[in-house]
Amino acid sequence: MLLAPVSFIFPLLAGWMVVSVLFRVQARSSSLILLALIPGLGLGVFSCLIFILLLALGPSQSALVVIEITLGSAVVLYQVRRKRTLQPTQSHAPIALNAEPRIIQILTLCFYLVAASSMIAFLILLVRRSHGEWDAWSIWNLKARYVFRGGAYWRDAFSSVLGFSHPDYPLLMPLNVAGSWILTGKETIASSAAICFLFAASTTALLVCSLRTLRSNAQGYLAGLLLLGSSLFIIEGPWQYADVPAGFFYLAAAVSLALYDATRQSDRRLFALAGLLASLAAWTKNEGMLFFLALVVSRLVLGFSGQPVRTRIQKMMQFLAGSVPVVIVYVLFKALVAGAPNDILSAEPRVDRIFSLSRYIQVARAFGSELWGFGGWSVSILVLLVICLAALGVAVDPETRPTIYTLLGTLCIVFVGLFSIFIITPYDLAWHLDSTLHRLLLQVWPTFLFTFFLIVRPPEETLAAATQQNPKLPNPDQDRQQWAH
Amino acid sequence: MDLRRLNQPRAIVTNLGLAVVISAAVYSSLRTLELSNLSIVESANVPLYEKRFEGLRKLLPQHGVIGYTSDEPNPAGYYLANYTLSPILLKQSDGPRIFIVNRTRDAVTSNAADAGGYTVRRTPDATLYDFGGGLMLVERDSQ
Repeated sequence: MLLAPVSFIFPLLAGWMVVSVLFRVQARSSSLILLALIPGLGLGVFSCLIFILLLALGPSQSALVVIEITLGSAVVLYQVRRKRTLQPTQSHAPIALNAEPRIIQILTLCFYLVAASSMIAFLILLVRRSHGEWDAWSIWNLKARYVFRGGAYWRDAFSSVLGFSHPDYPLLMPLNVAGSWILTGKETIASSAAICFLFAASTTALLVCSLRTLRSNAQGYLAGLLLLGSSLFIIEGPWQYADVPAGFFYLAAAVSLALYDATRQSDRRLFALAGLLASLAAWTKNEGMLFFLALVVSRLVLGFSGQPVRTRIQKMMQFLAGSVPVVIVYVLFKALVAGAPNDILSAEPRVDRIFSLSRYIQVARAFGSELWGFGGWSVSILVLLVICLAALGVAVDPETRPTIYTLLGTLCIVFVGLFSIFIITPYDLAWHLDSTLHRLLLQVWPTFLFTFFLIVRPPEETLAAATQQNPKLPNPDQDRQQWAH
Repeated sequence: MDLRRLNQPRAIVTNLGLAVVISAAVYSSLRTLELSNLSIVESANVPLYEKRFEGLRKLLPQHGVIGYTSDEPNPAGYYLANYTLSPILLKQSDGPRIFIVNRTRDAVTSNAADAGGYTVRRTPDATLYDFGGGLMLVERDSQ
């Protein structure tokens, strides 16, 4: 168990390297976004590396150690050289807490209390369910075990005998777990638990920090409260499922896109980073591929208003360039390793399902009921969102308008896609809806909150307007100017 | 109705709205903490399964496919058996030459499997390794 933290050194270094190259940040607030991106991105890169290692040499510990030491040293050298060339950053003057309205101070304090309480609950559940829940031991960690224990026979993990474990499911989660075991030479449940914790913590940090940078401090904390207050997020995280990690990559792609749009001279690297993160979502879960395609289509159609099609396609090339490495790994996996086609898409087509009105009604009812009760709140989350909207109003920054259109379009396409999947599913519809819909909504929940709070006016601004005072906001323009250098 | 006025809420509305959202989040978070502390029934007790199969595991080949039959009504036991005995692949059938018989009804009446020991019995065409508690490994004679 003590060796488990060692296995995360390389993923963190890899994440640091990739984020540093694609996300050059100088403002302090956006440095926190960078920190929140590092673990998830690093684990994504690590899983791709493990997959290539498996294809080339099998689960070889010595080869992995050599690769990690070599690449890790290169990352450290690069960072040291880069630090020397960077100018010292201009830091913000601290905002006087006393100058903030009382309700904002309470909001900030409550966010930290809820964060502490959520972390304790998360850790208790992780310890109690050390092997995770159903999907963890029947899909994700099961594959990790077959890869690690199988040695030269690691491909048995994708055997048709294990058809129940969905041999076509992408490998980000199992290969991170297996990779950490290969590296330390020991199988420990602490690895998968740590990965789940990292993703949940990074999702929260990323949501809060990105909204603090793009909107205001209170806006970030408010979104954080709505994320952590959703008990489903805290309870499902320790189950060691892939929904929270997929949700992290959806959010990370959305944040990169927003930062790209918010910079005056849009930094192409941020757009490439958005492409990379969206492709990692596809490498995490099959629904991630739906998100990736939805984001591409939505951006093309809604994200470049008034620009000719050719320019739109040219700009999208930067996004797609970022996704190329992971897409190659994904295609290699599907072509060479995945043991079976997707169970839903490869099922015998049944036209009667598509024309069955009762199925549409059943799915629509399930969506409505799940949305109403989502997150396990004592009041419906929809009511709380309406309260936020009524209490704060709407104020959209012109710079983030393309992001908002893109993300709203993406969420709509994802919803239509998920709805269609349920219509054609070969499984018992009631069982399928009951067992998966809440988890699918959990995947998009952080991205929805991010989009929602890009639209809602920040509390500081609303209160200042109401009392006719100048808000003491951190200046988002100052941050944006400092991102690119 | 002037929509612009709706978009400029009064300070009391903003304060009240934020107070409601904050209270709901704090309450929900504390309830989650309370729930996490309660003994929630897990879908399966994985460590118990690992212990049950511990002795049998030592007799299995390094890799390959063996059979698995069980009286369990839901598939969780079969999935857990794969999880526990990996990298061996378990096929839900008594067709393979080597197969596991997992009678969970008998598990409650005996805890012999917990000890990891077993007894060996011969039948006309197979050797039967009985770990107690309804867990057996059957090896058919080569034909």
